[in-house]
Amino acid sequence: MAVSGSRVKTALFGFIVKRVSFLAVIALVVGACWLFVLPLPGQFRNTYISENALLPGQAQAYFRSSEWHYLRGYKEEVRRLSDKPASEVVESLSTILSEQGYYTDVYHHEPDKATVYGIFRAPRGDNTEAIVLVCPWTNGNGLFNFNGIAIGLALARYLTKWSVWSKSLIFVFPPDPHKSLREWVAAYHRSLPIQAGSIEGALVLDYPSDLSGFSAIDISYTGLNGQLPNLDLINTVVTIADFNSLPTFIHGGLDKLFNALPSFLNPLKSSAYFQLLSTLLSSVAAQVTSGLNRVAGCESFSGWRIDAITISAIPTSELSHDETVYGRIIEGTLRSINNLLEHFHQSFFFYLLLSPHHFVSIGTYLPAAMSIAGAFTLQGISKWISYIQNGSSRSSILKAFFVEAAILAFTFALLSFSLLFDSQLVAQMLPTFCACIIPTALYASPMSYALLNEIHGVALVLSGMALTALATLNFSLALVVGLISSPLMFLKPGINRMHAGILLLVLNPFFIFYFVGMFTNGYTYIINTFVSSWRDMQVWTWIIVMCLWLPLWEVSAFISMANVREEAKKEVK
Amino acid sequence: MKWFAIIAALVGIRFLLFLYCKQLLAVLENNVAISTPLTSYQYLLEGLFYYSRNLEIYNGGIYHQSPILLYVMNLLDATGYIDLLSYMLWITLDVVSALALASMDDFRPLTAVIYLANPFTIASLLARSTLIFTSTAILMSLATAKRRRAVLAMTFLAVATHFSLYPAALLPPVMYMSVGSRLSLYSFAKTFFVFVAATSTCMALSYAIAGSWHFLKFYKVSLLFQELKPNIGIWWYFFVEMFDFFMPFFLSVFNLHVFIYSLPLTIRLRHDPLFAAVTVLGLHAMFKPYPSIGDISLYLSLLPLYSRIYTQLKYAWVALLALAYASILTPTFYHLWIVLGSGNANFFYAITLTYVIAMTTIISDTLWAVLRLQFDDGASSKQVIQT
Repeated sequence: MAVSGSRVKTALFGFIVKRVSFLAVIALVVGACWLFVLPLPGQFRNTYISENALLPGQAQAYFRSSEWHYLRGYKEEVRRLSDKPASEVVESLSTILSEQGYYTDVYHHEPDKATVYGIFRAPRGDNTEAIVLVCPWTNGNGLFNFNGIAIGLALARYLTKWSVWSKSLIFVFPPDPHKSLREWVAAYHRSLPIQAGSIEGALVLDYPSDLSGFSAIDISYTGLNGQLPNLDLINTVVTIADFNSLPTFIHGGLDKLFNALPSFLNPLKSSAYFQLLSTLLSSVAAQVTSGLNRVAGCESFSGWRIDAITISAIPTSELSHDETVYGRIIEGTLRSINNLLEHFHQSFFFYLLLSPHHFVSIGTYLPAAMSIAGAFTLQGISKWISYIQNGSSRSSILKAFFVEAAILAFTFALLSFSLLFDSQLVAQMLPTFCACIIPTALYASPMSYALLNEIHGVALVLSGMALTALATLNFSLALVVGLISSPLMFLKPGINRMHAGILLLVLNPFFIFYFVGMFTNGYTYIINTFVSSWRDMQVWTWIIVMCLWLPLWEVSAFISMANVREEAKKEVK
Repeated sequence: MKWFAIIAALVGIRFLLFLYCKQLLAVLENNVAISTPLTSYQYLLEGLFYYSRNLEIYNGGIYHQSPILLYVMNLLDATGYIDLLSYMLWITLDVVSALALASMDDFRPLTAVIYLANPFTIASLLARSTLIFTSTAILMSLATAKRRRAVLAMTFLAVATHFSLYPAALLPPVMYMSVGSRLSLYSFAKTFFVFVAATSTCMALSYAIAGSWHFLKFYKVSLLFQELKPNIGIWWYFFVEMFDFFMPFFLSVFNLHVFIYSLPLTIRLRHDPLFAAVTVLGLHAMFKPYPSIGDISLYLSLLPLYSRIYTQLKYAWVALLALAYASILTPTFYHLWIVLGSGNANFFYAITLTYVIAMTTIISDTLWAVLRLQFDDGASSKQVIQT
């Protein structure tokens, strides 16, 4: 009985074992298609305020016509400062802040670069919690943040008239929302002379125009390395904007995408599915390129448990909402954060937005990246199984691990090299170094088919594991890196070298960067952005490329280009 | 010669990592999967601070380890090179463990290499977890018991028990191993007496060092789970939200669980009591209150002694992959929970359950394989594979 039972089990096991590779393909297809299912009705949910204390929009906001003349005055002041040297700007801003009653200090980055910040001590608090308002001098696109600074100054004056604050207010005026802001946030947690306790929330004001009107607000929320602010913070801003009948967009809206589409697709633009999908994809893209491409400012707060978003106004010269509406949205959001009794924790930390009012949570979207990571593991296992079934007597798994370790050490050395000597020359040398594996494989002494297969299997299983861990930290990066490198899993020892060579070229990370660079700022710019983003903002993407994607490419190149020992190859057939 | 070079290289790597990767050491020392409140090197240094200033060691609520360790560390501290010397002591113990393991396997060098090359062993060593005193004593006890040196085996087991209490569960298999088939009331009484005498000696030494009986508190911390900190075990999550009036009941159940398997396993595996001891160690790596990956590495390092069962294992790859996934996701989820604040305790707990699943699979699989070999030498399973 027991024996026949195990015979059935063995037969079933054999049936599955023969098809593990097929299962890997299925997992890959499921993972690739998963995101396209999410915008279908029933797959996503409506956002809702989870933390009852927030009460968004319930407090009357008074930043209205009575503040108009102050705002105009500050606009004049900002206009006067716009062409002045940085030192004079810093001095004027700190004079204004200290005259308004703020404890003001200047943090010097470099001799001609400084961040002014001022703290308004909470009238009803114990100075252990604070809310930060950031008004960068230029915004993420390098535009002069004219109204952002003027509204910031007007709000700084206006907010001190209230006695409701239970959290201190910190106004920060960095030269840019990128490296300077990051340095200020790091310094706040280490060395700044005046402090106001833990930062409960941060808003970056972005209104790069002197036009009084704006048509909508746009919310950027991705943090570095896959971190996101609590969904309640975004919901609060969206709710307050709704009360002010102001449209909201997520991550730059859809205009850019729509303009790029050919005109015969116009009917698609109005379909709900397409709109939700494009916002979803732009959320994924924003998470992948966060800290690399356009730094909106909220990224700089990642790593200290601070929930931060950037609120950008979309200026318009037509008759529409005026600047004070923007100020009221900031005021309302501050009142809501001020209500919090404990740190943001109620709502989701893992989510993707499909529109300002719709989201998917981690349980719904994570299977996409997980099944791709699973495909790597399954394919790796299938390589091992085929090797075990061939009946080779002794395991060469230690040799396989040794090769994997050597390749990892090589790519790690390349990574250290690129980080230590950050220059255009190094960026151009990297592809040559990484291609060294191909002559090595061609001139190495022939290896058995089973060993090569096993080396590939080890690399695939390790990549699958690394992708799984990465997917829990940065879903989008794991998804994109997994998808792009997934064809590498189908390479085999002894495959036609021409075909393998073309596939390897197309899937090489540096070739892809070169290709992307042709349409953007060029290859060396991309590599230097990766390196500087690690140095200035601690963005891991370059590490992931060099320690996850490149090693897998190197191993796949090695096994597909290596000479296969003939008799071992026959054994397989 | 080749093996000697490999072992020398593995020891050399340990020195290089110690000399040039201080940051890595600090990260590992603070890792919850490696250092528990009962084995942490930082807590040991804290205890040493108290001890060297003649303060009451066990009142601070920080130090929960044996006073004997403090005495040894104090000796090292007196030379002024405590960092280097303690690290050399740890490496020596690691090598002794590897030799003890190899001696159980007819001095097959591969067994020692597998122990020394295990990443769990290396991580535990770099973090200078004081668990190594327990595990070396256990391995020495098993090695001597296998050679029927009952007095030595019992002494080492008493030392291990002194350091972390739970090795007491190894008493039945080790006793059975060291007396062998000549089990009589007299031999039983004799070996048990040695164990009691050695334990009393350790206690007396501890009393002499600590100057009072307060040191017994550190057993209480373990038995009553008084340091409620996350680790890779299954206790902490359970006791976090326990109502006070349920505590005595569940504490007894959980403690009973650690000890209860020992005797039945020894009786069932009396043809091979060493394997009973190995299985008990595997169960401890899951069920004791403060397990760490050092416990898992101790258990996994003993399995190569049973390389003959490898052909009978059914889920070896599944279990090893689960273990590998768990060990890469443990630091990730801890980071999400404690550092980023975006995850929560459930994330980390889910991973400790994965550890338990992997360990359960390995334990039941190996147990099945050993019993299978005992039953018909694996004859019928060979037949199935052929068809």
